[in-house]
Amino acid sequence: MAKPDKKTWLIAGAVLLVAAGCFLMYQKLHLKAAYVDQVQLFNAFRLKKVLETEYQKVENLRKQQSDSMALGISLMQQQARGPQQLGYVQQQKEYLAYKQNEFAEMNEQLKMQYNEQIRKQLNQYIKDYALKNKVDFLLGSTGEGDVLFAAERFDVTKELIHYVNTRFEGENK
Amino acid sequence: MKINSLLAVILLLASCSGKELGPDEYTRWVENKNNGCISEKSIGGMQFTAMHKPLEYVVLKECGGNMSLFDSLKGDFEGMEYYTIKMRAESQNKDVLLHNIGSEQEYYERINYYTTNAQHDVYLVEAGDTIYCELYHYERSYGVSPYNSMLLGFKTRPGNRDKPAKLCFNETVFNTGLLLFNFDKNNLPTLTIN
Repeated sequence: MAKPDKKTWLIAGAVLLVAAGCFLMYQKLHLKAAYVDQVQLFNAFRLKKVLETEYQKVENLRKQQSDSMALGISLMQQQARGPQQLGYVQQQKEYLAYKQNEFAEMNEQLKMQYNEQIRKQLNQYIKDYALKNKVDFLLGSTGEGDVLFAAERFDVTKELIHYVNTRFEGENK
Repeated sequence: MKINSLLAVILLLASCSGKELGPDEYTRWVENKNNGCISEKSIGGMQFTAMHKPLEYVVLKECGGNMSLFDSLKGDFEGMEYYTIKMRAESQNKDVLLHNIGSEQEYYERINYYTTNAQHDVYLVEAGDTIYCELYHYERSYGVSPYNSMLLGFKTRPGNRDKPAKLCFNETVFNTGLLLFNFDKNNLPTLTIN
């Protein structure tokens, strides 16, 4: 077999250079995009479930407390005789209304606090996932037309749910 | 002859994988992030670094190079598992408690929380047991370092000390929420002291 001459080597080198250039251009210009079902992700995030249970416990305890106060007042009202006792019942009713408002405000505050905790952790893990997988665009879909169409192969919801939950459970990046 | 050679190779391999380390190497091994004693989380601009400190490591640090104290100190520290949680704000190099602060009063409330109440928001889950923190010390840096640390001790069952553990910290000051850190603890080296 004849040895390749200088010209052949030059052509092969040029082809290699062009191929390397094309590859670099592709890397530079090719943007990786993916989308995720935000509602599904949020609902499947373990911290959300933990805090939901925690919130329910607190809300139920406060409700029990105000229900038992209401029951006590209604019994007092049935047994109240004379203006002094009726006045006391009225005072208790006002106090109950005040407490119910206070509980409602505290519940709202707690809900906001928990939502912020979920948002902070979820956003961080989503960012880490995108960086780890070199995703340039990660679109969030709520199923209400924010992503009009995307092929199913770009859907990373399941993968992301798995990632955020393992990160939350204490695994390193 | 062949069997002898095979045994020699096996013994050599076993001695290599048994990870017997001297005091300095042991300390370096524990402090190496790739060896599983350190777990980090960065969330919302806050960085939390949790560290599992094996008994030998704690005792070595206490000895300060004087190995004659090792055995007596080991006796003092035995019976508990030790962890540290360090925290810092990624955006600043001053006291972490000044991060996103609203008022001076809030700063003192934060100090008060970390020195007295944070202990109740830290627990360890190990082999199905939830263990609350029994030894707690909050180490302030007074602005010298961006890190503040919580030094933690848990009274665990002796049989569980090499079982995987999850350190849980319900962080509320910066509203980061429940932070979980995993530690396998099954590949710790053996400390050798000459």
